Amino acid sequence: MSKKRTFLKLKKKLLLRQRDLLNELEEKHQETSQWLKDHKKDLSSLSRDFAETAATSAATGILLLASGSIPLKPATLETDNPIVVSQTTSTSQVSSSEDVSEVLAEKLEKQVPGKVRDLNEQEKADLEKIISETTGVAVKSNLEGYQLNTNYGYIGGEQHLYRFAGDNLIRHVKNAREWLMFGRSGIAPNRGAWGYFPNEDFERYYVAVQTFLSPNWRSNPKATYDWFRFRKVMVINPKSGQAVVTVVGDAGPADWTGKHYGGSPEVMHYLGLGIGPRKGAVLMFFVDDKEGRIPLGPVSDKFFQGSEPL
Amino acid sequence: MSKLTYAQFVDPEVILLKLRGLEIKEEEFPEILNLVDEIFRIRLLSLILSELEEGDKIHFLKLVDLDSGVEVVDFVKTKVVNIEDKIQIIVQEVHNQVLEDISDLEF
Repeated sequence: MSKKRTFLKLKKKLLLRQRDLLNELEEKHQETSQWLKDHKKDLSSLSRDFAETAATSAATGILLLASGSIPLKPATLETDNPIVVSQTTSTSQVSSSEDVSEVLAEKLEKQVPGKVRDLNEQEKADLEKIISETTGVAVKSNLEGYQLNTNYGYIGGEQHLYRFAGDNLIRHVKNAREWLMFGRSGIAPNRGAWGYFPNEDFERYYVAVQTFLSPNWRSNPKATYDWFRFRKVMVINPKSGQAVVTVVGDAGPADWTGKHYGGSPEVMHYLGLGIGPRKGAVLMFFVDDKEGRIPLGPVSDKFFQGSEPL
Repeated sequence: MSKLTYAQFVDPEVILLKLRGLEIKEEEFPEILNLVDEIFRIRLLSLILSELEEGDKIHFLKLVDLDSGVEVVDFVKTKVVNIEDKIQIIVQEVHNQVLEDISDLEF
């Protein structure tokens, strides 16, 4: 059977099922159908509204959908290629990052171009120095010969990504507050470019970068793909100075979107870009962290104050 | 791709794997997944309406229409016994049914 025919056959089957269900619903619940008709409402949008309410309620614990047919979260996260992470501290416990942000914003204001564009080598070097000295984390635009396609570009909000087989959105939030901040972005129907995540923090603080536009890609796509996998990068909102240490967890966005990077709902929140258009200009540099000492999450002075760049 | 309510409850990766097995083009996946989502939503609404008494159905519709999330769920939880279990059954049924539909096309 040709690809097109298979697709059409499946589509037809699902459309028939959908139509039968709608007919059945209308026949069985005539009082309801009449009310919808009288109020000029359609069944499709009403069902969508209710399904979203159910999903929200499940996430916030109002509906307890933690058992039964939905597979339970495995004790250890399953991944295609497990990697060892020497990460002992979660920065989500850190409450304040105001001081370092303020200092960083002040220093970056004079250095970062007003309009988003490629940075020249001198600008990159100057920014590396400022960011490394202010945050205490050594950052580089060129690490082990690899580079991003740009270090200054637009980031857009992404959805959550599946972390393991059987994962679902509800498992990504702990309470109603987190749902409001991070749950509403939803979860993407596909896995990230490197498959499932080796731990929860990697998905929580992931970014998407255009690996396919990296200068290294053309000469060796396979090695570049492998090198970028869960590579640590720091993202900085130059206007506010808010900075987050993240990992590269997905490839994208597409070139035509006009955006250069994507950020998880948590990353966008900690960059101060979690509301409104969920888009903004950011700086992005590799974190030089051979020993795996730099924790993921928002950069806080409590971790890095007064220390030499790690 | 638009947000899938269905995918908030269960990983659609199994369905995607099956679709890849059929060699359906990747760009056609969203259309299929959106239809699955639509089926799931109708089944969910149908379930609630079937469980409610006649007089309660209109009240439920009004609450959904008003977008009063917590009130909707409170109302449903009060009126429908074991609502959580029933939703899980619907999720699984839709999931299995779609997998069957795809399997039928494999032969």
